[in-house]
Amino acid sequence: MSSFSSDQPKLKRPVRVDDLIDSKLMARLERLDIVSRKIFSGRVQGERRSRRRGMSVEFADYRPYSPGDDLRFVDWNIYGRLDRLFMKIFLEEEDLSLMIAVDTSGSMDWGTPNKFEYARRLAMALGYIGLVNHNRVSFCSFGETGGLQRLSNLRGRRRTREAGEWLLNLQPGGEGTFDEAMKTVAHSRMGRGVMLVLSDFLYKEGYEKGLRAVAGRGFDMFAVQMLSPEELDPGANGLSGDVKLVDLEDEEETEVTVSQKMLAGYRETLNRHCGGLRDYCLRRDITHMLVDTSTDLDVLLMEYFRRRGLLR
Amino acid sequence: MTWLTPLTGVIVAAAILPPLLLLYFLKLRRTSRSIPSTMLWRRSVEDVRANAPFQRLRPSILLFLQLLILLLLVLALAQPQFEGMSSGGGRTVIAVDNSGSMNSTDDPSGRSRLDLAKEAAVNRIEELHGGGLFSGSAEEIMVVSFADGAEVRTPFTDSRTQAIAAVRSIESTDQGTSIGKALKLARAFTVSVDPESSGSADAMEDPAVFEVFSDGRISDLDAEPLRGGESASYTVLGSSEARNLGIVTVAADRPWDRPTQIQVFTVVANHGPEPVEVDVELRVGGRARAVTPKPVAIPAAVKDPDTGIWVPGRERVIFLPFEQPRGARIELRLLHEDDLVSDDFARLVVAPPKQLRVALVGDIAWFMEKLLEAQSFERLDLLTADQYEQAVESGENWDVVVCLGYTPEKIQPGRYLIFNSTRGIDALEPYGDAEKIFVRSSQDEHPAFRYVVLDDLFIWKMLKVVPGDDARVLSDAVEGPLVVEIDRGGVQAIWVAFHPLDSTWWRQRSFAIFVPNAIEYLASIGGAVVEQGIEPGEVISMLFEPGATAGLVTRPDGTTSEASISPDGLLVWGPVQRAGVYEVSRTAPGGDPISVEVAVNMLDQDEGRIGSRDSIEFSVDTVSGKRALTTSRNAIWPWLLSVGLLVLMLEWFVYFRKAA
Repeated sequence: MSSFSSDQPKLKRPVRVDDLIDSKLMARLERLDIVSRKIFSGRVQGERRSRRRGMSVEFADYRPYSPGDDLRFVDWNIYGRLDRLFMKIFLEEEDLSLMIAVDTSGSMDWGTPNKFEYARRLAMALGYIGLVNHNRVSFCSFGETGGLQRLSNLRGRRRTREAGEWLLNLQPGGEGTFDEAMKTVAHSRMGRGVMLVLSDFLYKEGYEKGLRAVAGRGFDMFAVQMLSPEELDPGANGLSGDVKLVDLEDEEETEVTVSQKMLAGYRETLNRHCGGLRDYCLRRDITHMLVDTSTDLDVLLMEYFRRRGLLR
Repeated sequence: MTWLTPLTGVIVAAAILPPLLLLYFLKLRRTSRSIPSTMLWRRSVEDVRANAPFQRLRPSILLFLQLLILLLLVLALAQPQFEGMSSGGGRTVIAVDNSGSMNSTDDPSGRSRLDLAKEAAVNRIEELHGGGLFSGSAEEIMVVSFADGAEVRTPFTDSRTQAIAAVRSIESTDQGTSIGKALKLARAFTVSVDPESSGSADAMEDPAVFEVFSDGRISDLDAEPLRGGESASYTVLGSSEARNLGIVTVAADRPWDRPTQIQVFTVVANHGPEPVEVDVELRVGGRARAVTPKPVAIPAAVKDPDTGIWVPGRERVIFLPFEQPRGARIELRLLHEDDLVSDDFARLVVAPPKQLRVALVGDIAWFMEKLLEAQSFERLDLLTADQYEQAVESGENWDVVVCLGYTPEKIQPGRYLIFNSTRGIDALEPYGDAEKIFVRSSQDEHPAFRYVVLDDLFIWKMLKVVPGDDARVLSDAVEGPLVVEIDRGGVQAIWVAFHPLDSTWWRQRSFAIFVPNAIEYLASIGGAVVEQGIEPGEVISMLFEPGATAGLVTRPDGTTSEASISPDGLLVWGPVQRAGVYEVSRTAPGGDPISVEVAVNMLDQDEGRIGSRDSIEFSVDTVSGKRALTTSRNAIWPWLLSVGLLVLMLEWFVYFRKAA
């Protein structure tokens, strides 16, 4: 049944964590890890390289000794040859901070498959990858319902259920507040790291301000734009005739006579919108990924995300 | 093609077409669909156009189909028809001729003129009514049929159905044609009482248009002028060059000296401009008895140079006497095909030979006694007045009673030859005597006066009477009627105003011819000697036994009709519509049903002249005829409506295909 049908069946929502991620997928995901194109400083010594020089075994550089430095890192061999004190600097390995932001606005609760449910399952899968790799995983949701909700600093496989239950409790609806949510995230000092925004980026006020707010904060940003097949090709998915389109978020009405010419115009507009987002992200070192929600989640994770460098 | 209600179609088109197009210009009623965001849609150019209050009219199969449906609907409402005429106005009298000549089948289709006239009248009624569902005010139409008489089929009505049913109920006859009664009837219905007038006697006429559907062969047109305000139209049926041969006279008789034989006479008329030869067949009891030994040559009709009237050529045919001791149904048939069949046949019903029982009552004059004794009567009774009255009281009856200077005070139903007495005769009003009289005129064609010449008759003394409605003068003098035929209340009589001894008549040869003629004629009225037959339009009048009941008339086509019989045994039924042999039956008192056959022949020479007239003249008003519509008008609005419904179904299908 197409989402354009006026008598769409009621969506069956997941009620258990197992509904979000099953054991088979979990087993496959345990082999994956989150890849960051940037080196971040973590709060605890993790399994990542950090720009912060520290106590790892990998030598990075020398610097002159200054009073107060830890004498354990003085290179005594240099001192023996040059009679000057130099401090050895090592690359410190840190944990990775993974922030997954889920759009819970009304526009996400649509499509076949449902974009919101697809986003929750994807967030759960990515979060699980982060947890099993001892990364610091945080979730946040932004939408009108409940405003900005967060679940911060989960670490380790044991926190999987907590993450799943948090995701299960999310409720879609209302108008999206992407700009405000991103500003809040940017100012919350939740730590730098990889940040994934799972959204359809259909914001009438625009996505630029929101992305701009987080783009300069040191995040390795991934903008995952999720669109349903009905949005990507409405003509092939049952939209025809003289229709009155009602916006799910603000109930704005738009009367449209669907014709081939009009569908071509829509596709052009959609391409322009997606292209604009991609270009905007490119200019701000944000990785843009367009995801068709009809894509199998396993294929998405195992192939697409790995190919795009988010997972390895 | 004509349009019966074009204005209706134009009005509906003007009322519906703009709103339909406006609906397409305005916003459509759209199906509501929820989507995540209208942002992308609003940016498209098509959406901008769709949201405008008016949008450009775009090619649409639905619009095309709806316009097609509308066009078909408007065309159907305009009611196009083929072969139409314009509508008339006011009140209209549809007068359809159903006389004998209207049975002619000279139309190439083989249909009779009456059928064509009825079809033309129905078409005319539909025109007058606008012919359709949405026509305006209805015409008031009266339907009259006319032949010898006239019959109102429906009074003025605004019901199209009733008027058409009235036309279709008109049946064919073999009668003559007279339009006078039809005009009188129609005028009686066009006179209406003025409600504003205080006196009920004040009446105003609302003249009507007479529309005559006929072949123009109407005998009394000269006597029927149109009145002020009246107008007429004439629809011609049939061809002016129709050919016809017809039997115009037929008679059968038993020679007085050979009563077991029958002799048949006939006259055949040719109404065409070319001489014709024809065989005449004589059939007795349904079997061919004789055919003329060689074809009879009938001369062509000639045009009278003075009057301009075509006089048909005539030829007499006599069949030699043949032995027929019993009664017989005799039929004459022209072995010839022409456009009118009804007058190609003539029938006679001849009773078995029967010798009369005659009584001479009153003065038993020797010359009368000798004259009657010379006739071959079965019985001749010579009775005084007292003897006659006693015999009547005892139930005695005679075929003919000859009353000489005497009549009973109350004359019983029967047939009488009466001389010089008015007592008991209601149809005559005596008012004195006259003397020294000569005969002025007499009706030589009457059977009683056949071969009777009264030029030398001188009468010394006669009774002066005023004849009533039931009396017909056969011979008269300056002083009053001399010989009168009376037919009243079962009494048929020939009354003579003088005693033969008061004149020179008793010793003249004409008296010896007149008395047997009169007795034979009186006897033949009841069918005692020879049934001469009657013509269509006349009534069957028969005198049966007093107390006879259950009168029943069986028509030539087998249908029956009850006929009442008066207590004194008189049956009157009619007028007769078609030619043929009618069977009249009754039940005698205490007896079984007895039937008598009556032959009805179409012998009207005017009806036989079937060439139609191009115009008719109501006295001084000449009305030119127009040809009747020979093709019925085909209303095509049902077809348009049907196609419209099919297109509507297609539009419904397309709409749901698009909406699904």
